[in-house]
Amino acid sequence: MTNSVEKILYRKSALIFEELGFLMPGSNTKENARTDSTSAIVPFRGPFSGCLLVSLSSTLLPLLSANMLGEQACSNKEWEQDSLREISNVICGNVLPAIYGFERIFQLDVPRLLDNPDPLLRGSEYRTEAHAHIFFDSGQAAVTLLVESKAFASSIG
Amino acid sequence: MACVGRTHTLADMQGEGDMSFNILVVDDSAVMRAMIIRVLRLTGLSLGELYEASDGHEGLRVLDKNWVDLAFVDLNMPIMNGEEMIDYIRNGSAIADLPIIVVSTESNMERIESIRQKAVEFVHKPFTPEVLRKTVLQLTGVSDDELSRENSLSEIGPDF
Repeated sequence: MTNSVEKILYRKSALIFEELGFLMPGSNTKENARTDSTSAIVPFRGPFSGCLLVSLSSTLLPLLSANMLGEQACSNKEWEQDSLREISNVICGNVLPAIYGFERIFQLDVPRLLDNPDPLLRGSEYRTEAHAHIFFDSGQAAVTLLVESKAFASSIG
Repeated sequence: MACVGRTHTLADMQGEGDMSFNILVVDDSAVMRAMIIRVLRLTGLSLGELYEASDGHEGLRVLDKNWVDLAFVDLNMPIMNGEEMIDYIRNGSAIADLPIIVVSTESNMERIESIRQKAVEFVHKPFTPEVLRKTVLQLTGVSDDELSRENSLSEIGPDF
C-alpha cells in the first residue's frame, strides 16, 4: 500500500460522491463508518482479482439515495440499497484504471450487499491495498480496495 | 415497429412541432435511470416523453410502441445487455439509425472504441449535465444556436 494509491482512492471516491450523489466532503470526523453502516462489494477480475468495499453510515445512505433520485426524502430501503450498489460500481470502475492504468483490463462483477464486511477485512484471502474515509456533514463513507495477495504480487512482478 | 421508414433527424423533431427530445433510458438500476433523468433535466434541453426500461428486451418493446428520438443504454444488464440491444437495433431494424448513448463505467479504450464503431456515443459515469448536453446535441446534429432559436419561437407561440 502506498500513500499515492490512498490519495487516488480518496480523490476519485470523493469526486464520485460529489458528482453522482451531490455530497460534498465536510468536517464531521466523529462517526465510525463501519458502526451502524451498510456495505456493498464489487468483485473484479483481471491481471489480478480483488474487490472494492464501500460502507456508508446509516445517516448518509438515505441522503445519498434521495440526492441520486432527486427527491427530498427517500424511505425506500430497496432504492437506498440500489444507490449504494450503483455508486460502488462507479467508484470501482473509476478507481481501478486510475490506480493501475487504462491498459490493464478489469472485468467488474455485479455489486452486491454485504451483511458483515469483517471476515473479508480480517481474512487471509485478501489484503488491503488502500483505504479511504470520506467525511460528510451528514455521515461518512469508508472505501477499501482489497486485492488477492499472491495474484497481485505475481502480476506486479 | 411504430416508426417504420422514418429516420431520426432534426427535421423529424421539428416536424413534431418543437425541439423536444423523446428519450428512452435503459438501465437495470432504477436509481441510475432516475439519476440520468435528473441530470437530463439539468441540461436545459427540451425534454418530451421520458421512457424507462430495465433491460435491453424491455427497451426494444418500448421502442416498438413509442416514438423515441434518443436512447441512453447501460452495458451490463440482465436478460439482454446493452451491446445485444444495440446490435439488434443496428442490424436491420426499422430504427437502425436511432441515436444511442452508452452510459457506463467502462474505461478500457479498446472496448469503448468497439462500442463506438456501432455508431453510438459513449458517456462515462459519473457524468455532468454539460457532458450529457454536449453529447446529445453532437449525436442528434442539433446545434446550440438551432436549439435556442427553436425554443425562442416556441415561447413566442405558433401565431407569431
